[in-house]
Amino acid sequence: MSEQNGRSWWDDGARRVLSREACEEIAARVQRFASGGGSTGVTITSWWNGELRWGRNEVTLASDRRSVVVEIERTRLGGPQAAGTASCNQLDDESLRAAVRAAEWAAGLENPTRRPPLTPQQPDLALPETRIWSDTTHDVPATARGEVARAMIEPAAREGMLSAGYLEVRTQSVAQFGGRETYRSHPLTTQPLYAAATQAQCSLTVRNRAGNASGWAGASSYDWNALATGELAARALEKCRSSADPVAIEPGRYTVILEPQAVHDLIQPMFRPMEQREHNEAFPSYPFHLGMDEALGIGRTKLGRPIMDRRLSITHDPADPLQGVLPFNGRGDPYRPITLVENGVITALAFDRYYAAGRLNEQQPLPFAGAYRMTGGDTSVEEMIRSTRRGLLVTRLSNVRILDLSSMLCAGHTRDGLWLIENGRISRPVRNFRFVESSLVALNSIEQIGPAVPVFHPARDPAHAALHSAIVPALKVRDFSFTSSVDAI
Amino acid sequence: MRTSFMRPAVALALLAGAAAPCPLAAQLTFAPPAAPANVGGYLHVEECLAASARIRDSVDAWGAHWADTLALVERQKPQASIGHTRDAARRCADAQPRGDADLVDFVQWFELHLYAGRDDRAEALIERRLAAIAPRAVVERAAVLDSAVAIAAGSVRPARLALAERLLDLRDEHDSVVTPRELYFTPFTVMVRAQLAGDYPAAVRAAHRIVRLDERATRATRERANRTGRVQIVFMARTRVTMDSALTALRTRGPEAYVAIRRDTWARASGERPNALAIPIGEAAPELAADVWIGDRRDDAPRPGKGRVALVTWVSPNCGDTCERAYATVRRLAARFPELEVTWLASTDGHVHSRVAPTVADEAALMRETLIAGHRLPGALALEDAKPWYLEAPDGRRIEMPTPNEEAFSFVRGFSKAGNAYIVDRDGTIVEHQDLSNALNNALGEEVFDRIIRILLDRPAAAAGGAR
Repeated sequence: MSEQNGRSWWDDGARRVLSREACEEIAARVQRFASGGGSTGVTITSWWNGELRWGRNEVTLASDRRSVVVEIERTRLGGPQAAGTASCNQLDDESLRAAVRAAEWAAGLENPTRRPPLTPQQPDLALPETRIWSDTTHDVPATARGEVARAMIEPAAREGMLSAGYLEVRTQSVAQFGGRETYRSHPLTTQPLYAAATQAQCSLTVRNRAGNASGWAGASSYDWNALATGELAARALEKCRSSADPVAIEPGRYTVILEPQAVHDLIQPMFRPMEQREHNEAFPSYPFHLGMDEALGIGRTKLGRPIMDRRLSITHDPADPLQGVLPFNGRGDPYRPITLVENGVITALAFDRYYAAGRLNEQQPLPFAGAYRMTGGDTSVEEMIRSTRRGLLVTRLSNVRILDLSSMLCAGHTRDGLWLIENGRISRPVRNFRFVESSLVALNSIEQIGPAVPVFHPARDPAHAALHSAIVPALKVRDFSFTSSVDAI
Repeated sequence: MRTSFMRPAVALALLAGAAAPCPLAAQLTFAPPAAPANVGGYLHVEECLAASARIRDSVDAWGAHWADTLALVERQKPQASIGHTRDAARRCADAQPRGDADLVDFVQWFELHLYAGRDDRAEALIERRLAAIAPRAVVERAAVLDSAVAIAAGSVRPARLALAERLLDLRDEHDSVVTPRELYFTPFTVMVRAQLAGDYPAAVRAAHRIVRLDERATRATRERANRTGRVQIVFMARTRVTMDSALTALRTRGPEAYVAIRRDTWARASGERPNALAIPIGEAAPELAADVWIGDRRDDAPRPGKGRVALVTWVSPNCGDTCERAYATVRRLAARFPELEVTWLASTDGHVHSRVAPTVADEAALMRETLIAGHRLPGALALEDAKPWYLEAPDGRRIEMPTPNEEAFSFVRGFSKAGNAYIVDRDGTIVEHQDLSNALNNALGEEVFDRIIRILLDRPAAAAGGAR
C-alpha cells in the first residue's frame, strides 16, 4: 500500500506513534477531501500501549497494542453556523473521505441553538515547556517489563504471599490542525499543534493467603526509571505483613493520619468542580458557589474567600516535571500555571474560551489539566504518629463517591492497611472502615502537614492528556468520621 | 457525493435563489450522503420508531437552514428527506412479525404507520383501539384521542391536520373529562402545526375551536389551565380569530382602532383590564440611541425616521443561531418592501462569540463581519455601549449597565430580548410586536407583519405633512 494511503506509517516498527510529519500529511489529505467551503479541524491521536498484568503471582496478560484515531470536525460558516464531527481509525483515502462526509452530515443534524464553533487560537500561541517525554519509556521492551514484574512478584511469593498488579508503558502523540478559518484557506494564520508524551505506571497489591492482610503501593511518571519498582514491591509487602489479623474497633470520629495517597483519594473529586467556574457561579449545588447577588443579578463564587486551612496552597504548573501534562488541551488551548488555592484562599477556578471572552474580556481560557501540587508543611509521618495519643493511620481510600456536591461530602472506605495509633506508636492493625466525610471539612480540620510527594494518579483521559500527576502531602486530620466497619481488606 | 435525493432540494434552492439574493452555496455545501437507516437489526416497534424519529429530526434540523432562504412553509421543506423517513419506517414495520395486532403497542404503531405514509392503516388501527374501549370509559377514550391528535399533528412530518381535526371532533364530546392542560394544549398543537405548514384555514379553524372550548369551560377549569399556559394559548387563538377584523380596522380607522381590538383580545383571554397588556403597542416609539451605527444607513436622520414605516429588531452580538429565524424574516420583509426602514438594536457584550472586543469600535467591526456581512442583514444597526464595569479580582467579571434603548422599554419584561421586533407607523406609533426568534411567533409574525406593513405603507401620516 502506498504511503499516501496511510498504512506505511505503521510499517516502521521503531516508531510507535505518528510523527509530526505523518500527522501533517494525514491532515492535508483530510483537508483535500473537505470540499464545498466551511472549515475543517483535524485531531490525530496515536498511541502505543505496552501492558503486563499479573495475579496470584502469575503473569496473566502481556500485550503490545497501538492505534490511531482521526477526529474530523466540519464547520459551516456564514448563515447558520453548525459543526459536525466524525472519527475513524483507518488512514486510507477512502476511510478518511467517508469520515469527512459523515462529519458534514452530522453538521446538518446539529442543533442550531448550540454555541457557535470556536474561533482559532492565536498563531503566536505560547505553549508551556513541559517535560513529558522519556526515551527510556518509549523504548522499554516487553522482556524488560517481564523481568521487572518477576522481580516484584518474587519477594511476595518467597514469603507465601499473593501478589497482583500491573505495569504499563505508553507512548502517545496528539496533533491538532485548524478549526474555524483553517490553515487550508489561511495556511499561515493557524498554528498546527503537536505533542508526544510517554507514561509509565505501576500498581500492585500483596495479600496473605488467609485473606486478612493487604498492602498496596503504586507510582506513575512519564519516566520509566522513576517508578522505583523495587521500592514499591517492598512497601506493599511490608504493609501486608504488618496489617495481618486486624482487630475490629468501634466506628466514630478519630484523628487520622492520611498518607499522601489517601489525601489524594479524598480530595480528588474536588478538582472536577474547580474546572467549571461557570457552573460554580450558576448552580448552588456546586461547592464553590457562594450565592446570588441580588443587586447585580449574578451568581457569586467563593473566589477570594478562605475554603481550607491557611497553611495549604494548591498549584497547577504544566512546566513542573513532576506534574507532566501535555502543553495544550483538546481544544488547542495552552495550559498555564494556576494558583488554585493560596494560603487556604481559593484564587482561581478554571474556565473555557467562551467564558473567557463572554465574562472576563480575555482571549485566553484557563484550562486545568487535573495535575496539581499541594503544599503547606514538612512534618514527617513518623512525627505525626509520635504526636498522636489515639488515632488511625490510613494507607489509602477506595470507592470514594460524592454524596453531596455542594459540601463535597464523600463516602468510601479504607483499604490496604489501617492501623490504630496509641500514645504515639502504632499499636495494631484494625479492620477497615467506611467513612462519610467532607473533603472541605477535613481540609479545615488539619493539625499537621507533611512534605508533598508524588502519588499514584493515572491519566483519566489518555486521548488528550499525559499523566495528570499529583504531588500531595500527608495530613493529620482531627475528627474524621468513620461510620461502620467493613469486611474489605 | 450528490445523489438523486438532492435533486428536488437543489431545484427548490434554485427557485428560491431566483426570487431573492440568497447564498445558494450555503444550501449546497453540506449535501447529506445517501445513507438510509439500516433497520435490518431492529427487533421492536420502539426501535423502528426511534429510527424514524431520528430521520424526522434531521428534516427539522435541515428545515432551520432552509428557512434562511425559503418561506417557513412545511410543504417547501425537502420532501425527499421525508421520503427517507417513510422508507425506513416501512421497511422496519414490515419486518415486525406480529405487525400491529397487539393493541398494547397502539401508540407506537399509530405513529409508525403515519411515518410510513400508511394513513389508512393508522386510521384502521385507531378505529380498532376506540372500539376496544368500554362505552362508559370516557376518560380512556379521551386520552387515546389526545395521544392520537398529538401524534398526527405534532410528531409526524408532514402533519396530518385533517386526521387530527377529525379526531378532535370526536374528543369534543368528552371535554369535561379531559385534563385542563390537554384540553387547551392538544388543539393548540394543531393550530401551531397548521400555522407552520402554511395551512392558514386549518389554523383559523383550530383557533376557533380553542376559543369555543374556552368559552364553554368552567371558571375552575380555566383557572387550573392557567397554570399550564392557558392565557397565552387563548390569547394567540383569539389573536388569530380577530386578526382579519383588526387589520380591517387598521386599514379603515387607523392604528388606534387596531390597538383597541388587540387590547380587548388580551382582556378576554386573561380576564384583566385591556390596558394591562404588557406590550407597548399604541405608544410613541422612542428615538433610538446609538454609539456606533453600522450597516446601510441612508442618512443621519434620527430613527425611527419621520414619515417612514419602520421595523426595529433587537439582536445581540452573540445571539448566533437562535436569531436566525428573525434574520431570515426581516431579510424577506426588507426584500418585499424596499421603502421599509429596517433598524437593528444591539448593545456591546465585550466579545463576539469567542473573539474579544475590548472597545465599541472593535465590537462594531466584528459585528460588521459576523452579523451584517455573515447574515446579510439589511438596514442599519445601532450599537450601544453597555458601559461595563468589572468586579474586583479574583472574580473580575464584566457587569453591564442597561443602555438607553433598553431603558426605554424597561417596563416591559423581556422586550429587549434578541429576536423581538416592533413596527412603527409614519406617525411614530408602535403598532405591533412579535418575538421572531420563536418558531410559531415567527411564522405568525411574518404573516402579520407583512399585512400590517402593507397597510401602513398605503396610509399617509396623520399629522400635517406626514411628519411627526
